[in-house]
Amino acid sequence: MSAMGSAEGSPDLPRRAPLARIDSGEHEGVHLVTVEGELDISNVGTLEGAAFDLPNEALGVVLDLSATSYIDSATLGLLFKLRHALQRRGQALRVVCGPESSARRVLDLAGFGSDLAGERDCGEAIAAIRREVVVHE
Amino acid sequence: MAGTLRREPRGPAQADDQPLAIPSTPATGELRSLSRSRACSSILLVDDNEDGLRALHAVLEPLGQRLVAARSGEDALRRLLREEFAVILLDVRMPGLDGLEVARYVSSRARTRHIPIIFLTAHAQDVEQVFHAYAAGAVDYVVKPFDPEVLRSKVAVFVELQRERGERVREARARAEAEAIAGTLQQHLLPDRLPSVPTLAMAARYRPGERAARVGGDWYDAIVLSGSHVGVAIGDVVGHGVRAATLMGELRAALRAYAVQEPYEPGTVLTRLNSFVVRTHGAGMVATLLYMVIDLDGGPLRFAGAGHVPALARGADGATRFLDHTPLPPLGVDEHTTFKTWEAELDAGTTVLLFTDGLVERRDESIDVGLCRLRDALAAGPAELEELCSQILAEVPGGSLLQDDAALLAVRLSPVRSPRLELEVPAEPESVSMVRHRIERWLAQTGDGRDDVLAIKLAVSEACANAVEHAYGPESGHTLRVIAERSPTAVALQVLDGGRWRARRGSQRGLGLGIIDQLMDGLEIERTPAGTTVRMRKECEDECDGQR
Repeated sequence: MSAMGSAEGSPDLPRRAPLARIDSGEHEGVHLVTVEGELDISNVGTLEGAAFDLPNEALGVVLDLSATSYIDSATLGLLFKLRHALQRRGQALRVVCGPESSARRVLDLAGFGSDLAGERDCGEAIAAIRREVVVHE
Repeated sequence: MAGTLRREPRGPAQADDQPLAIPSTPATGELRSLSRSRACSSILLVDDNEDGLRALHAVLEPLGQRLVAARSGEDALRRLLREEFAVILLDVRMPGLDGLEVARYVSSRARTRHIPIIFLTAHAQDVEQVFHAYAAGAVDYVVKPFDPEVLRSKVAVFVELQRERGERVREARARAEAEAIAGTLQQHLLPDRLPSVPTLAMAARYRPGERAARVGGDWYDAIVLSGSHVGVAIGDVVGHGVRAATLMGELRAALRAYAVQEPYEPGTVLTRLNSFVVRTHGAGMVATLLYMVIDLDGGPLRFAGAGHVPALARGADGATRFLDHTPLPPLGVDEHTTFKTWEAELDAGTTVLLFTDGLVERRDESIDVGLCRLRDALAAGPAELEELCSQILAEVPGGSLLQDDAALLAVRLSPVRSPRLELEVPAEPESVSMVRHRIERWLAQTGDGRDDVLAIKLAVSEACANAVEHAYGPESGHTLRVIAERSPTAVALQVLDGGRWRARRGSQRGLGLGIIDQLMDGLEIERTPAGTTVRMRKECEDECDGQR
């Protein structure tokens, strides 16, 4: 990041910690990606890498946005892309976020319904994916 | 004569209320004087035996009170529902509801609990029961055959007690009711809270006079007239109590109506209000009023007064002055008064204090002394308006000496009239969150909680992201500018870049723009060879109070 000018006279903001911490791992055969912080065009690429980095035998992806305070159209774009890619591979996608959260509001704007983000927590979302895949098989 | 609660039942159904035609026994002089000099009370005589009733009537008739006969317990209850009694003479043994049951009923009802009961009994074995009944409100008993003198004097005592008590209770009740009604009205008719306008600080107080019945008449109001104009008013309806409070409510409603019709001409508003008052109330309503229109964009303060004390102003430098104007009569005096609009140039940060004369007037001194005292209090008062109002009320003119009710309203246009934030940041992905966080802080600093913060953050971020991703080629060194401006009812945002706006390609084309469009109340994209400007506008969330 380079220096920033401001006509307001109180310009330079301190350098901040990374916008978000993104973790991923395997739970009961499901690829779980957790985002703590904010998502925008500056770091959505990191999320994309983490989300697509799932083994072929995984039942699906749970994206945990419970601790995500901000998402934007870049996140939505990734979700569209991720859902499409996973569908083709026979893998499921679930997003978890608080009912009153800003992430929920943005998901609603994009028309993502309860089929994608209907579970209250990661445990439920993982269970839903397991049920779905068992039914398919 | 003090009012009595006597109500005369009328009509054939009450025929048996008529005094029984029984020859009266001679009365003592003392009792006669009681009967002549006092208001009439009602005495309820309850006996299933006609002879018993006759006897009671004969004994009590010399008291000169209204005697009401009931021939059963049920009949007694009916009469108790209809009428107030000074005392009940109650036969213990009756078919149906007996005397003890009637007594229990009397003592269980709030409206009748206070009525003394004298039990009448012919049976010695009843006496024990009657003693039990004392607990249920009975005050005495008489064993038949009774001594006429004794019974008469007992009843006379109760009649007298009831009258004294009744007068006290009635007076107290009337006073309490008047005070409560006026106080309640006043509370309902004054604004619950003042409208919230980001660049205008306001605080107000109302205090009733030293007696609660002095409530009513003084009032204030603040009305959002437009995005850039707020009307403030303070007034005093001549008189006190319920009537003044009601008139005040009418006046306030009328002022609101005229103020919105004529948002920039306080003189015209008062002229119309005056003819409304004269038309609807004739000489029945006289009210002083000071009405001011504040221009949030820094234009002069415009005001008009009708017989009201002038407002005080305190500049940011602490200097105080009265906003003088030629006195004109109060509203309701002369239908043909034309009220003039006055102007005062005020520096940003000036505090204006509107008040009623209850705050400056004392019986023992000229009003000028009070005005000076208030001016000094304003000069020395704290900057924060709520504190200022509290302090002035506490100090001027010295607590309990306040004889009249008083109202005051303090307003201050904040020095920053249209808060503006301008940022110039590198056109890089990392800048987007920086802009977003800065905007969020700015919203918190300048807003009043009615911003849709997430919507504004999202829209600005999306516009910045678009500029970063699409406006420029791969070469670096470009910047983008963000300008945010707040008006009283909305936040306007601009994102400017030096490149060309291009919609995103692929399946997510226009996703960001779609978000902006869904969230903002206005979206405009201007493309020129020099660059692209995205203009967005977001209204504050709820309607400002006052715009009903």
